[in-house]
Amino acid sequence: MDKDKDTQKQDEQDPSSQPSSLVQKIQQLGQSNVAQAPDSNIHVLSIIGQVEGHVTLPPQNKTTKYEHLIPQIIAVEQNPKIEGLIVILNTVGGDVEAGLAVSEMIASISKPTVSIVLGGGHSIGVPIAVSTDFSFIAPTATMTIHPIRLTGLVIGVPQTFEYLDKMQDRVINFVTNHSNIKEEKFKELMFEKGNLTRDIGTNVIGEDAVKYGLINEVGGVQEAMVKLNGLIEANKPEDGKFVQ
Amino acid sequence: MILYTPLSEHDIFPEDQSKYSNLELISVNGVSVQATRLKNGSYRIVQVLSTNPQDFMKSDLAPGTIIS
Repeated sequence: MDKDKDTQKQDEQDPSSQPSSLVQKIQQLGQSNVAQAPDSNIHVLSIIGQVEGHVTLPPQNKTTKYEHLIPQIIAVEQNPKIEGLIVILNTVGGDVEAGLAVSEMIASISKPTVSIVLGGGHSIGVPIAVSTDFSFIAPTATMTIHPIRLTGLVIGVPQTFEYLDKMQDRVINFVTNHSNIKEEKFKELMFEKGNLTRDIGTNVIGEDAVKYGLINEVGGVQEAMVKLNGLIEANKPEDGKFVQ
Repeated sequence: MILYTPLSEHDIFPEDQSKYSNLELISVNGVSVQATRLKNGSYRIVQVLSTNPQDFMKSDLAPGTIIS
């Protein structure tokens, strides 16, 4: 690390020692040329790492900040050139209120939306995954469903517990309203014992998520793009005129 | 050292705020990117924040690129 820093410093001081743009490109991307394509009518929203809300997480955490996502979602809704949104999830969860805010915004967007859960869509990633018009999960991807809590914090007064309970109801309501899972089933998975080490909840893998009705289909990028393009076609007005 | 406390770790050991300040949100040709400011005042791109997949293909926005 220190050696890297030293060489960086040298680079900054002496412009002649700066690597050429081609060398830089190979160092950063591992290839000399990246494919160029015309402007895409589909935009991508990636929810990676932790969902960061009211509390700024330490810099070593990989986070998706909701203050970055919200303007992007507004931009997607506003731009007439954008016809569809694809949401890529690989998240461990995070801030409940931030996650719900993002979910509600994706759910209320007027353009077709499709989500893919790759790797993991845990905890507050579940409402984000189901917020789209159609959802996919990779066969190896997992989603952990568990009750809401504040890690490490002792509940001091009954009101705190009631507040958390209400917050949990909001998550349950959102998920049951935006997916085919029944409230009883979702609660059953949420409070299941023996699946997670020293914790209650369930780790739902790929096909099981589809079986419970949480996610629409098992699939990857190809299936998601086909579905999104289909939804975009269906969303277009019959006479070909743009109506807003 | 063992601390027996209901408080979370970052309440007892606050994070060094200076670690956060070296990342800045800047706009390059209309695309917002996260970048670190270098000693000579130019920026090194860390991450592109965009929903447009084509923005990630632009070589002048590739992570590591130095913007003066």
